[in-house]
Amino acid sequence: MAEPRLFALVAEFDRPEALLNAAKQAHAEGFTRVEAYSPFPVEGVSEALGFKERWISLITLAGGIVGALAAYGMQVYVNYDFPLNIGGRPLTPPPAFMLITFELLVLFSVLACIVSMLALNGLPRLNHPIFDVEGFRLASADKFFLAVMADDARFEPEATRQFLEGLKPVAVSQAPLSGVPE
Amino acid sequence: MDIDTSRLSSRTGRRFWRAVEAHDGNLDAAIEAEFAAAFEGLSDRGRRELLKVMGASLALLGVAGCSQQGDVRAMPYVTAPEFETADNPKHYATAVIMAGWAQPVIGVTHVGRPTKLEGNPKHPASGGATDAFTQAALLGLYDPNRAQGPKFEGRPAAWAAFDDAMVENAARLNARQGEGFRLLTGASTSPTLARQLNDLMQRWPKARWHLFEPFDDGLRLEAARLAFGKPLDRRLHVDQAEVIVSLDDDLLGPGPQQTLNARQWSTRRRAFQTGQGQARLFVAEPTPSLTGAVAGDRLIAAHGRIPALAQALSSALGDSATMPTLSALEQQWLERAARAMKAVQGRALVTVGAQHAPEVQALAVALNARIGALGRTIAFAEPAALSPPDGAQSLATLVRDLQGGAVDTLVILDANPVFTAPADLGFARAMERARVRVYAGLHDDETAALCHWRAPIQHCLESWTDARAVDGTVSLVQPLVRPFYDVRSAHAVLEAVQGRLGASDHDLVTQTWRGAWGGAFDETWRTSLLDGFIANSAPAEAAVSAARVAAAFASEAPGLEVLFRPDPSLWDGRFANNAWLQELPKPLNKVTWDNVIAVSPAFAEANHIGSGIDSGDIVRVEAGGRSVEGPVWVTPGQARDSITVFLGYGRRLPGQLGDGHGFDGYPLRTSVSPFAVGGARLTRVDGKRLLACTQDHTALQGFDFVRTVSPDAARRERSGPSSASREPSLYPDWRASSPSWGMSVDTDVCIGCNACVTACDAENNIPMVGKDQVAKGRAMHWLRIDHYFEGPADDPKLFFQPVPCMHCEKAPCEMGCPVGATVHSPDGLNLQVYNRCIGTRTCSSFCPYKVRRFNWFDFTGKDPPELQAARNPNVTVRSRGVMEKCTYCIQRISDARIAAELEGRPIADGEIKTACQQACPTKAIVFGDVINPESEVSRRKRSARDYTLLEEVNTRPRTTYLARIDDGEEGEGA
Amino acid sequence: MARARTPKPRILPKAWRPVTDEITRIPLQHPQTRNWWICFAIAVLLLLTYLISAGVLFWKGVGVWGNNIPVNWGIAISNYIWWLGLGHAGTLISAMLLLLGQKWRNSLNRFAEAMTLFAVVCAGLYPILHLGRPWYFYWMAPYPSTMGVWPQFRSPLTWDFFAVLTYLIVSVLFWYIGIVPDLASVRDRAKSPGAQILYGLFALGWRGASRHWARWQKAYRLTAAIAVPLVVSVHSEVSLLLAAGPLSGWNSTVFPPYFVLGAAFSGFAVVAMIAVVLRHAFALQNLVTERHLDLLGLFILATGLMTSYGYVTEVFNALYSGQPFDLNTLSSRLTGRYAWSYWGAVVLNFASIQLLWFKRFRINPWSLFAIGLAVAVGMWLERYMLLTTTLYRDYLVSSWRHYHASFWEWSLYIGSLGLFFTPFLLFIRYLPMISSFEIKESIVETQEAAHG
Repeated sequence: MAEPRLFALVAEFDRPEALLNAAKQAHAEGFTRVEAYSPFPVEGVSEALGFKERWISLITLAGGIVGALAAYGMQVYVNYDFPLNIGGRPLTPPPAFMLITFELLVLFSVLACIVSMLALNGLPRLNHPIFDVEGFRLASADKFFLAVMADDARFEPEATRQFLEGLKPVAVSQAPLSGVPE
Repeated sequence: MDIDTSRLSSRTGRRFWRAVEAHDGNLDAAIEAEFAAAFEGLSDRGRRELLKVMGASLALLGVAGCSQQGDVRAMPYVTAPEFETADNPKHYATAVIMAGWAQPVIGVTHVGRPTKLEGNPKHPASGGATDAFTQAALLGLYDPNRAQGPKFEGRPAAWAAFDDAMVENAARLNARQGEGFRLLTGASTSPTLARQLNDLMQRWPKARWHLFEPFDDGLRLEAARLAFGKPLDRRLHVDQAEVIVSLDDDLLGPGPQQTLNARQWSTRRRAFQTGQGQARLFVAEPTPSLTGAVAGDRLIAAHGRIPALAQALSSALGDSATMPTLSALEQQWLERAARAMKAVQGRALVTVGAQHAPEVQALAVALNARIGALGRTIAFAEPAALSPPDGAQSLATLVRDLQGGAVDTLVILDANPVFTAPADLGFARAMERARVRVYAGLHDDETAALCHWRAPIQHCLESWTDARAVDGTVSLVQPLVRPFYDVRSAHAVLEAVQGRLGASDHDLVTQTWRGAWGGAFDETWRTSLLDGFIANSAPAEAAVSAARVAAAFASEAPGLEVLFRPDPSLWDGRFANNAWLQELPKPLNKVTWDNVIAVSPAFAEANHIGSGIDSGDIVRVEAGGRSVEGPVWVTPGQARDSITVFLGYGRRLPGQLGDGHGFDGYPLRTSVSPFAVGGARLTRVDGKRLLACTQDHTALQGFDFVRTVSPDAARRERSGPSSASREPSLYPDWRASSPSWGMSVDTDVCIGCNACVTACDAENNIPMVGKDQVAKGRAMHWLRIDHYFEGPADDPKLFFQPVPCMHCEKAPCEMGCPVGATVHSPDGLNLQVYNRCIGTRTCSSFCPYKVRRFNWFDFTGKDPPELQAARNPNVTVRSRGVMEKCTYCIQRISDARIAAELEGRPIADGEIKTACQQACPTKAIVFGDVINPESEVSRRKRSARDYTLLEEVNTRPRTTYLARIDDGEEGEGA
Repeated sequence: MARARTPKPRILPKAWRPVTDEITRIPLQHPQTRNWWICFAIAVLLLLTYLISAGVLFWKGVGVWGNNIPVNWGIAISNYIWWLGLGHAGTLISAMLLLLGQKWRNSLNRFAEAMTLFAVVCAGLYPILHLGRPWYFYWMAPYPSTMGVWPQFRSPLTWDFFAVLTYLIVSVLFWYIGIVPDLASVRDRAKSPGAQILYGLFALGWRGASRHWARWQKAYRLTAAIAVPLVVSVHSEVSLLLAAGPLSGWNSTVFPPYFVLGAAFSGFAVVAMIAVVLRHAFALQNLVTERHLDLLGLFILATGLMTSYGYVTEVFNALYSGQPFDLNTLSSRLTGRYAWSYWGAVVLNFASIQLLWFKRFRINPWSLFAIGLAVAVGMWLERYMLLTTTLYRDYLVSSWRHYHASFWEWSLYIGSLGLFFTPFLLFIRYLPMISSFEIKESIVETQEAAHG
């Protein structure tokens, strides 16, 4: 039968250090479409794979600013839209308006933060070829995986497999491309 | 079937129709079926009549739904007050009758429905003021518990049947010149009734008329007889009296006299405030009264001590009478009083309460004569009230004759002797001896229950009659509306019992005055109707010279004495069905829906029944072998050896609002000692009664909510801003434009009479919530009168302080509301927007004055149609779950503003009168524009007496107070 | 529901697999089914009581409660403050300790956060229930209404409306993104397709990719950093609900910190109670160790003492001001009709925690539980005291009046316990109640530390 089209070659490790080391080498080897999977965040892996990104902080900040401005603006607006003498207080007393301003600052920034995180991660995405890898379910328990994607420029099935085996993994398996666009 | 079907358009009406359709549309058959019982033993004519009646009472079920017709012959008040509204309310000058006396009013009707009674400013006696009873009379008119149609032996009957029976009975009596016919009435001053009685006596020489009124001036007439040889009415000119010495005479207390006396007293008091003479009030009394509360110098003296004090005063003022022995306190008080009187000579007044022996009162009359007060502060005139042949003995005679079987037909007109008659007479049992008993009154009350025929009469606001005010002036009473119920005027009933049918109340009244005026009738009648009174109709003051009066009294038996006083809210009990009065906090204990037995703190403390007595404990009071049981109220200022039983409660009115509240004190009251009885015993019995009191704490506890100043300090004008804005504030002031409303309440003249509270109830559709809710602390009055005492509980100073919404400029309530349901208006009002309110109650939590009221339940939705008809259409009826409070009568403000804008002029000062201000007999409340320096309210706020309640909270109230002037012992110099 | 077990040594487990199994087994095959059902039945009964009480309230009106003028706020509002207070510990523990890098939090934060959520729900419903016209509660929200009217933004109630809403949303998000990796873990352990699909859905397809982890950590820490001041602000604003009014005993600048600390205090107490119960019910002694109890005890002691400082300040302020009304309020607190609530609070909130100075009381689960209970009750009394003693004797002597909570007020309060426990029981039954991946992470670090 015909070899199914590959999604990635996956090496399995059972220590985070091994994963980190593997990631570093893969990066050094010049692989760009590499991803590491672990049951918990492993210090340094993403950096080792050359991942750098400041979007989330920026979007959160933006959200906060928008929230604060919207809140204060709203309070000032409604008091001019329908001006009322409330207990002899000024029409737009900044101290009284600060609290809601702060609350909406918080709300908007947190929403922005979490939504952007999910969006950048491409989540939710319920199905993914990597789930077809033998034993990948342990990736959420105590196993660590390094995957080199088939669409990497330097990917050649044989060479890459040898490279991975050179990292002394527990096993190397392949993830077939199950018709789902990456 | 003659039914005005338009009347049936209301909800209730329609519901009735449905019930009818159930009987395949045959109304007669339906009614016949429904009221089968009523048809027994009725002639065919009776049947037909009864159907008519039913039709009529059907019609009035619609009363809430559509407009009532006024009486076409009634004369609307021409110069209607400024606050005419769009729906053109009509104003009629007329009068409400209280214990026989006319209380002049101007009745306001909207779409034909009376909605408010206001004082008649033109009237010489009231000058536009009213008392609580008068305000509440409006509700009395709509009272759903009123007798709504004639009854025979407790079952609905027809007027025709009544007429038949009466004609038949009259025929018998004619034969015997009326022998065995007895008429018993309550007190009356009606010239028409007098005329009718004359006719009656002429037709039936052997008939007899009796009169009984539980609380009247009978003994005063006796006193006059002793002093002048003939019975005369006392006419006080309190406004002339710079020094008043009241020996247990509650001049300013509830009763027909209140409005006149309070008004005159305040006139004098205000003159004193501005430095013209004095207005000193010395009171010696056993139980705190409104007069005692405002007195500068109050002596607590048992009822039994009053004669001695009178005697002592008399000798202190140079009478040769022997000086009785007095206690040190009494002595000092007496000397102060005597000194003050000597200082002003003829401008003084000595008065003794009507509940004291004629001799004692006569002594006071003589005293007044001696100091030259006669004709200045006190005068006498021919009696205004009708007096029965046997005077004070009238009822006793009737009972004797009843027991002797001499009475064949007994007609009781507008009186309730079975409940109020002295216990020793045994009236109830005696009256059963009469063969035919006819009762004509407003309610199916205790007396009605023992009569064969019940002929319900019209309320004074829906019938033609006449009556005299306490100054003797005659008021023509014209109806504001046609009767809702199937009732007749008292005059017509009185004719009917003589077998004379078809007379209308209008004819009977006009007949009287045609006789009096002859040719000038039409003109005089017209003007009198428009004015609300007949000019110069008061009996002239008689020129009298006092006879000597023997001033030696047997001193009362020592020991515990029981005093009988009419209840401040229910009077002798006649207002038991009036929710506004039932829920009206009594001035001196703030109890509602109950009467109490007042005992002094010392007595309660010392009373060695276990741990002494607390308010609410049930006690048994025994005197003269009779006893009653009721809840005790520990009353600061009560005499140690006097206990006061308030009468009028404990009514037995099955199925009516007034049934069963409080306890009946009458069983203790005898014809021998109707006002006080000595040698009493008080014992604690098991149980405690929950009393619904609107003010749990009355001790001032050193706070300065009410303030007093010395007379000379009072006269200074304040330099600098009004008290309301002395404290600095974080926030810049909003620019205030004229008009900017404010109020000033003068605690120096407030007598705590509750007229303002009741007026507010009527004006603002205040819901009555019942005893349980009041006890829970949920009374709804927008205006409350706080009552405080200061000093030792056994000799306290008593204070009143009306507390409406303060309309603060820096209102915490407004700041607290999350939805902006309470906001400030440009003219300085603190508005409450009912339909925006979601009921967070933050405003009330933040309110330092706690003047806001919350609709904990739906208090208004289930009101019967009659009560809905009584509502003021200009004021929103509040629904469940919203906050409400005093609005400064904003509906009146906007009416005035509209009127002023239409005429392109500013609103004049005094043009707007809030309901409370309007009713106040002492003008304690003034409302107006605080920006305009010339307005009355601004003038008041400039006074040095002006102070702000809770100034330290710095809420900048628009309502401020004038401190009370203490011209008591300290005020000697003034 | 606790079953006595021999305590295990107080260290973190060495391997990751047992952690995973121990935590994920609970949702997948529940060890305590019988006991759980008993508790759940009780909780549902309470919830029913809540619904009935609320129904009666809506049908008849607030009048069925004991409120009156002047005490027009009763235990409805004090319960609101109390519940919201409990709802503070979760986020505090989770967020603050996360930022401080306190790894021990990992065993507590998950159920502490869940506790927060449900407590906030209980709290948030009270202000709506106590309205005179609850069906209009949304008028507090700014929306373009046909009448052109808006909320009144100077009102503490409007502030609360925004604060509580924000707090609820943020807490839910914080809790949810925290639990996603463990949901993935449960998904991967699940045998039945049903469970696989359900947990799979809520796991959002989490696969533990390093880039995901990187972004997740950033977002999680950012949210935590923002949540801490949020927590502080929320109860500060609740305190303004009282402090903004002019009434003696409320109008005080100490209120915001006083309330926040009181909130944390009661929150930690309840967390401690729950921790004790859970570790015994589900044999989690090696995840929730004595060290955790010890630290919780210390936190309770610390926040408790700060709260007590609030009490002292209140008394001092009143005496120092010398204002007759402040003194009057003070005296009615110490000696008045409701003095029991004041002294009750002092005894339960101050006296009881003195035991926590001693380690053996901190690490003994049951003494810690007892103290936690005492504090929870004590804080309830404190809130009740603050509400009632100020209102029932405010300025004018004439309006002084007592207040007694009615049957329906109590039943609503008891019922609100059901509103809390029903979802909480569902949570411990169906969700990983302890953060397994964070524990694993900390195992690594401890091991690295060990290797030095």
